[in-house]
Amino acid sequence: MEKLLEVKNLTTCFVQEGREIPLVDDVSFFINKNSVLGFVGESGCGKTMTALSLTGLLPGKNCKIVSGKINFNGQTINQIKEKDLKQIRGKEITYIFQEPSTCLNPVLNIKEQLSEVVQLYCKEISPEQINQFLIKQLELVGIRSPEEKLLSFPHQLSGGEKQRVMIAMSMIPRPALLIADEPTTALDVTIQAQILKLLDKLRQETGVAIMLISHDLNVIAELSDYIAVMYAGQIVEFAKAEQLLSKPLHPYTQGLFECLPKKEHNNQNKLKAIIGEVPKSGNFPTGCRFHPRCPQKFDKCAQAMPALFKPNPDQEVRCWLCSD
Amino acid sequence: MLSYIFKRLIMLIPLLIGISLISFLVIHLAPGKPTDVQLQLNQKVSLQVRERIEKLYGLDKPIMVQYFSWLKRMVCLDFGVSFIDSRSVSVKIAERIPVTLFISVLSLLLILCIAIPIGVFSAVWEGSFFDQAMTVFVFIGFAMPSFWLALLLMKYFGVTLHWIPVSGLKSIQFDNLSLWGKLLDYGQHLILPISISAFTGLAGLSRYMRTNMINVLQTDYIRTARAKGLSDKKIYFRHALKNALLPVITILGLSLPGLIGGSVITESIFAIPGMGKLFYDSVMARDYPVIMGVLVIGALLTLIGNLIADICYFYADPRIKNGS
Repeated sequence: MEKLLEVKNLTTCFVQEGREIPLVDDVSFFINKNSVLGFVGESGCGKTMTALSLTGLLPGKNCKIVSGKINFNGQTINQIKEKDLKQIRGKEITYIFQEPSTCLNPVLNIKEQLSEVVQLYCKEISPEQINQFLIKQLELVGIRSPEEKLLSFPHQLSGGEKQRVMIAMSMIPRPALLIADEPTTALDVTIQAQILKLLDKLRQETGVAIMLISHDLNVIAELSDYIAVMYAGQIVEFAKAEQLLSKPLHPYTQGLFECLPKKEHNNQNKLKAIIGEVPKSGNFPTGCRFHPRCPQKFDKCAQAMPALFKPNPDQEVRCWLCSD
Repeated sequence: MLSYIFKRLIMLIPLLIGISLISFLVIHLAPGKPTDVQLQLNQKVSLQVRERIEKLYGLDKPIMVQYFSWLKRMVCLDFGVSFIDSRSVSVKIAERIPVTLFISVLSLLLILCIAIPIGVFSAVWEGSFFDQAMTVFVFIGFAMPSFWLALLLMKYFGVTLHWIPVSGLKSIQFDNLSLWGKLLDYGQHLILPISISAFTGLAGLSRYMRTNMINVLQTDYIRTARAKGLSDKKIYFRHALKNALLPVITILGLSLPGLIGGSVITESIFAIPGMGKLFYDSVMARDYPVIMGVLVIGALLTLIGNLIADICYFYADPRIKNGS
């Protein structure tokens, strides 16, 4: 498999009064062409920040990449000029975000918002053809009566339709990588399944690679070829999906599995939760960042931060239990 | 929509009655009487003459009786006659409106043309030197007493440099001038009052615009626009500005009474025969019918300005237009 994106030791910090607070801490991963990498973890553990770091979309001047390398198609894209980055962001790498209702501009209609992308990246389409082209794009993402929807404003569409419009918008430039940040979180469960199916269909038909971010292990398990588990700004487990799903090694990953509702759950066998919460950036505990919440902790965990160990060729785990 | 406007117009009636009652009471509670100026300074006028004149104006009756007889005339759109020169109040107001309207519209346009760009670019370059310099600049205008600034500028440009006439609206030789000469003459007289009222009015709109724009720039749909790879120009002026300008409609609606009411201070200092000067003179003379006339027109315009702003929102904001 050929690597499309390779991130090495990426550290993104929030700079406050000269102090650097790490949001993403020494994160390394890769995405193969036409495959799906799932990013899972609780809210506030740095998944979105990792995604935004990739194309310099970080909010505000206070957030910045401090170190690391982002290699995309053989180009180190975190060291190029904003002008050159713009050739990649929006064309080669596109995004879908969590809240479809706030991600579309409320005062521009769907056609206006979609045509911008066509004008930028599909220069071969003439202004007369745009309408026809956009209707076809909306059909591809499963929107009914696209002619009518094209002239609608975002508030006139349902949540699912808005997310489909976002997907259409991000697929128009034929990107190599689609970053889907919690694409189903704000949607009904039935719509969630449809959107995931749509993403999978698009991947098969267009050959796009997807970086799928979710706090929901079920969503991640559905599509991913590789899975990265994030905790407190770090990747704590990175493995092939089959490997990680059948045999999770990090206690945090195991905890996430135990939090999933299962068929056999009844009164005797209650749904479990990981006790405590994700530590705030800048306030991480010493040693392993998960140790205060870890059921399997021992002395060493509080003293030193574990490195990423490789118990199997396809599995990396940041846990002292896997150190030998 | 029509029934909505009709309902709103009906609702204006009780509001207007309330406003006029309070203004009426407040003015009559103020020390001094309309008869003072005409009679008190004249030693020869006897008490009997004074009582006779007060009776003539109806000033001897209880205040509520006076109010209701005023209200009764108001309903027939009769503003009454001035105590001072016995001319009809509506005629007095009508002849003052054009000058004031001309000055206010020009200074409002000037404010819009300067304050909106200041606000927008201060937000785009938030925290930059430009932002800070503009903050200082507009607050100087806001904090500086306009009469003081007016006097300084009159002294410098009028007396020291002899560039422009110091006060009034026309020169003595106005009637002998050609058309262009007349326009130039007006221009020379009005340039100071207009620039001063624009300068002192910059702060409100520009700060409001800056805050709006900063808020809009943090929204998800601006992040989407950036993720699409749009140019900064498109992000700021197509996606952000449209949203940030919407609330300005309210401000414009509320500035309607100011357009007709004029500035008491500017007009008095420059001796411009406008509404502000009329109001000032009539307050000084306790000319109740004129004061009430100006106040009622002001109140009516405030309420109508509000209504017009709401109607404009209906057409400008697709969420309201298509949502209902």
